[in-house]
Amino acid sequence: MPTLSAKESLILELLVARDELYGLQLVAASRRRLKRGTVYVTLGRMEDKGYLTSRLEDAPPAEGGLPRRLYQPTALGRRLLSAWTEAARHLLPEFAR
Amino acid sequence: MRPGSWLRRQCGHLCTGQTMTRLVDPILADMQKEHADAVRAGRYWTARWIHARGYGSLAAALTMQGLWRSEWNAAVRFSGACMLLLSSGFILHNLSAVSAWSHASQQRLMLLLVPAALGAAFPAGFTVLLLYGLSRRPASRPVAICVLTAALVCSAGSIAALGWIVPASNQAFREEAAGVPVGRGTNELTLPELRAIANGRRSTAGLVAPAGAGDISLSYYARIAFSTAPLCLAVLALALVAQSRATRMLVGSVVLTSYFAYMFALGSEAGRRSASIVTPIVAAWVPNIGAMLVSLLAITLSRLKPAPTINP
Repeated sequence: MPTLSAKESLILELLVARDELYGLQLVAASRRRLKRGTVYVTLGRMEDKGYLTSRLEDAPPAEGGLPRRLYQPTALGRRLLSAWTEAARHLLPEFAR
Repeated sequence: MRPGSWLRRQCGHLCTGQTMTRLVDPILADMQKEHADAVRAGRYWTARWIHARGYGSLAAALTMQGLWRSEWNAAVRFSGACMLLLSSGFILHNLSAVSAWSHASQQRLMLLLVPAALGAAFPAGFTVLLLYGLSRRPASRPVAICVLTAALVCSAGSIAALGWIVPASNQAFREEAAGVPVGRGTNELTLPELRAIANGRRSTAGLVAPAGAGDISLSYYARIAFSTAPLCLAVLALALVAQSRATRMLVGSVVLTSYFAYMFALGSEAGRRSASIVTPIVAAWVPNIGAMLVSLLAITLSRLKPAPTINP
């Protein structure tokens, strides 16, 4: 049975809402709930579980640095988030957003 | 050269391909992007801050990644429990010794004993962490370098703790327990003070129960030897890494128990008398030498073991 931690759920919510984001954009959009040091550990773990996929950005940066990585939710990730939110709404209506 | 290029090369030697792709490269890519934006805007101090923060983020991510490995997670908990047990035993032993006559607050006394308790328990906790956490396969060169670097840093920290912090907290504990200013004993002298007395450059006047030059030398060398325990015990853990966890923990427990029993005995009057048959430096270094000999034996035995054959 797949499970979602609070951070994983937040990441999936942000990714589902905006489809594709960089790690730093996730940190900025989370309003400090995700830390730039550890967000990639969580993203890597979620990739292992099949909740999201990643790809390198198309054009390399003009400055010549390393290409950045973009993350997007998989169908499994979207379904899991939907089921998780639904379950939370039924079980804990007072906490549901 | 882009910021983080050197660090990326070093990480390339130490990390797996997946860790590079998923952790190191994305973090460094973010850092390079932000750094380039700041430089382009002429915000050079911000660029420096971004550079430093990028290194911090990478360190945090690699630590988290390491701790999430279930073996290390269990190892951290197990070694933490060992340290807690040893520290608690040390604190309770010392508290019970003064509680009969001291009217000082028990909580404050307990707090003052924490540095000494942690200083004593840390080498054991560190060794247990390595013995438990290292997987059953020959340690690769990067792993060995990481372990030995960590042990070196821990040893340097131990020297600072046992040389300066613990003597100060010991003295504060004694004065708090007595309720009046009291003279210092051997355990309350800092490393430079011990060395000055051992070399005859300073007298023992003003010390409580002044010890002989031999005892002072022994105390000086024992403190240095104990500070290097993380390094010696890390070598032992690396030497045992190819053995099963049960063997590692068994051998490690025997060595650690002998190590601590010897150091504890060295602190007693009878122990110091027995140790006086050899020079103080030899007496102090016996447990470290013993640990190194066991390591050497383990390495020799593992090399003698025939390589596993592959059945067709």
